[in-house]
Amino acid sequence: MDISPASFVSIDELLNDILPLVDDERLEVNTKGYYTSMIQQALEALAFETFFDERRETEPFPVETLTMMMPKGAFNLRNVYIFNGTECNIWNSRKVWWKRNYYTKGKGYIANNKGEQTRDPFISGSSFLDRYESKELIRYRNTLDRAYFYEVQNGMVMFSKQCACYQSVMLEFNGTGCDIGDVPIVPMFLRAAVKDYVCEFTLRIRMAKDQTNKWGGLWKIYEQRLNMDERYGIGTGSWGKAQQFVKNMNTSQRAELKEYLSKNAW
Amino acid sequence: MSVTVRTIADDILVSLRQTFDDKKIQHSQVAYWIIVMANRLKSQHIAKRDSGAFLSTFTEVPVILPTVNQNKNIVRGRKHIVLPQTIYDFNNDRGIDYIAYESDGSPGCPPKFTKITFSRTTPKKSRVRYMSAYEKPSPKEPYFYRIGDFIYFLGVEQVYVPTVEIGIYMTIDPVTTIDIDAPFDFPDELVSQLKMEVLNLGRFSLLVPEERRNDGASSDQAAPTQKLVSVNQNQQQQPEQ
Repeated sequence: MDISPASFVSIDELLNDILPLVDDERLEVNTKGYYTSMIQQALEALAFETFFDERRETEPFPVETLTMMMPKGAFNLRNVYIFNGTECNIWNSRKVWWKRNYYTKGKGYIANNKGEQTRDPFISGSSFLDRYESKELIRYRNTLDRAYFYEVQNGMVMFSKQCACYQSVMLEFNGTGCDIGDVPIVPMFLRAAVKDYVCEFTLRIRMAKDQTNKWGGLWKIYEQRLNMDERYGIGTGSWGKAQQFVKNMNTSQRAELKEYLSKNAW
Repeated sequence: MSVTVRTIADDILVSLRQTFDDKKIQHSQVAYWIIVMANRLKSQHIAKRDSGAFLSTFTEVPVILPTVNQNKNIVRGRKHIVLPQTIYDFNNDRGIDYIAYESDGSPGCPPKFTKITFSRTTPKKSRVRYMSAYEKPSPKEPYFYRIGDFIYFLGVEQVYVPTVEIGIYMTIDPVTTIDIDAPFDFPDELVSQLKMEVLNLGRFSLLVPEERRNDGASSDQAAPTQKLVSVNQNQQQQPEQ
């Protein structure tokens, strides 16, 4: 679900709630840095599970190497585009397609299927591929000027040579919520989950430090608040609720999708 | 806190019937007992109650940057302050309620008008702090650790911090310096308890028999003239007398 960029919660706002819950208002058991780190980790975990953090980043196209590193904090590449012009004035853009097993370091490339006429007994269907227009997007030789493709390996994005005709590349990806070391800002709809996550984690520390185990009862409460879904179904724990909220469609999206589908126009 | 040490001491001397000229317990002795017991009761009181009644604030405590090592406890190049007064040694250095410095707005520091509070650590635990990007000592996230009467700082090495503000729980001044006619910095509701504790000390002192005291006179018991030998020592191994 979409949310206004103004609807975020600051670290101090969260700490104001969290510190009394774990009886550490004097910041004696843990430091502010620790709590900030925990909030960042909560966001990170939510980002991996819900993909709530969607980002775009534009870089100059790596003409020499045809490879570039995925931006810091990026995972799950969603789309790749190349274009001419500037970010504020895009005048010629193309979508870049994913090609399986493609590998390059700038000159030449390796791929399972190059779309060439081949005598490979296992991949003998290049003539078969020629008959389908959609397949040519990931081929090279036969459609020299139109093949824009990429592959990702160990965080390196490798482009086909034809992409170098464009000035810039835009990556659309999911982010980890907040990079390590940055000050996290938490979307309002994740606030409850983040608070419970930090409380649950912190109370484990309190249990480790306090031999009397007087924190066990409280820890149990937060563990249940966080993970209640496992026992009582999706949407009952704060973590599950956050996941559900992120995955929900906007009312307009839902209504308009129904409209499209009903008219067979999608 | 209108009561004074003198008031309590006089009251106790009356209770112990030590008001005559040749009294065995002196006024200064009672004052000392009062301070000893008052420190104990006051520390328990502060530890139990979340109150600012006995918190003392010192501003503009100068930060020292030693240029030479000096044993013990002074290390060259490490910023520190000297505790302005003796404090209670509570768990986790809780005798120090807070230490704060005013940022000068230099790089890495928040604006000048903000005050930054130091977190507590120890020399050993501070190593772990450097392992986290968020907890690493910095001008925004500074730490203090205590070594004796010195409070050392981490994270403000590269910024100008001339003074700090500190809030501490002070012990009662020793009997040699305390003004016994000044208002006594002690919870009023514990004065009766204090009197009882001091009376117990005084009563015990009066009960000690006279002959147990060292009056400087020589004893009748003769000093041993022979070397003492353990009964477990082998007779054959005994050296000749």
